[in-house]
Amino acid sequence: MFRKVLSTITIAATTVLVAGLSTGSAQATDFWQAWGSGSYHASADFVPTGGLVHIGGWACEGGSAHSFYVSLVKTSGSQKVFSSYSWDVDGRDHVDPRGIGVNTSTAYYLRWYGNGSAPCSKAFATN
Amino acid sequence: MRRIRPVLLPALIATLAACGPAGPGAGTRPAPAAAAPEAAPEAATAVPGPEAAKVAVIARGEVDGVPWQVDLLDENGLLCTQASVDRRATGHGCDPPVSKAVPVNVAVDGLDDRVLLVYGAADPSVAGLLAHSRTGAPRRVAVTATSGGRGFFAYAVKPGTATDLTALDSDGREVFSAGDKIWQFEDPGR
Repeated sequence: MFRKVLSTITIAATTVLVAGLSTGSAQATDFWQAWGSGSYHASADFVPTGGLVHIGGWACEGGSAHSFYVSLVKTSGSQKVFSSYSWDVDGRDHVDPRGIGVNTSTAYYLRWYGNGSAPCSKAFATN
Repeated sequence: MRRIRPVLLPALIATLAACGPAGPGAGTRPAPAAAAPEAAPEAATAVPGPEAAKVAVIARGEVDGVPWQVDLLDENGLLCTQASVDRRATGHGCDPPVSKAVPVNVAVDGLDDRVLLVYGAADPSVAGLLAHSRTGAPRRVAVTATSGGRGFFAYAVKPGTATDLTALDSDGREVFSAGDKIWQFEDPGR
C-alpha cells in the first residue's frame, strides 16, 4: 500500500510537470488515469458496476519503453488478478476488447508497467 | 454503457483532471459510497458471442481438480484468446503482437484465485517454451495452435508457484523470459 501511495504522490507531482500533454485517447472510458514520465504507475481505485471490465492503456513514444502492459489489481491486499498482453508503445489505445470477469462492489486499481520509461502513459477500464 | 464508480480518489488527482480532458490526470465519475460486501463474479459464460468463431482449444487441464481451458477465437478477423476456469470466463485478449525481437507475448490470469493461467502467442522462431516454477523442474509448454503467423500456448499452475516462462531458439539458446511479468504478478509486495 505504501508503494501505491508513494506512486500516487509521484504521479501527481509528475502530472503537474507535464500538464498539457495530450492523452491521445478517442475511446470513451469510464475510468482512466494518465501519467507523465515513468516505467511504473498505479491508478486510483474504482469499483466496476458490471461483471465484465475491459482494461487497456496507451503510451507515447520518445522514451526507452518499447512495450507496456496493464494489470488489474484488487485494492484489498493488492492482489493482482490479471495482466494483459504486452502492447507496443505507439501512441495508440490498446484494449482487451471482450472484457474480463470481475466482482462488482469490489474496489480495484490499475497498474501500468513499461519495459522502460515512457514520457506519458495512460491506463483505463470500461464496462 | 454502465458506469464504473471511482473510490478513494485523491483530491489532488481530481483537481489535475479538471485541467481539461486533454491533460494527464484521472478521468472519473463522482466519488461513491463505501464498498458493498463482496459479490460473486458475474462473468457467467465462457461461450463466445455470435461474432466469435472458435479456431482451436489451445490447452485445457485441471489444477487441484479445478478445470481450466483456453480457446483461440476468430473475432471479426482478430485472433483472440478466451480463458475459462470451472467453465466461467476469465481473461480475454486479442492480437498479441510478437516478433523476432520480442518472440513471446504472455498474459497472466489469476481472475479465479484457484488457478493461475499463463497463455499467449509465440513467434515461429521460437523452438521451445519452458515453464519454471518453485515446485519442480522446468516443463515444456506445447505450442498447440498456429494461426496468423503465430503459435499459441497455455498452461496453468497453482497460484504462487510460477516463476518464469522462457523461450528457446532452435539452437537451444534462451531468447525470451517472462520472468519480470510473472514476478510482478506473483510477488505480493509489488
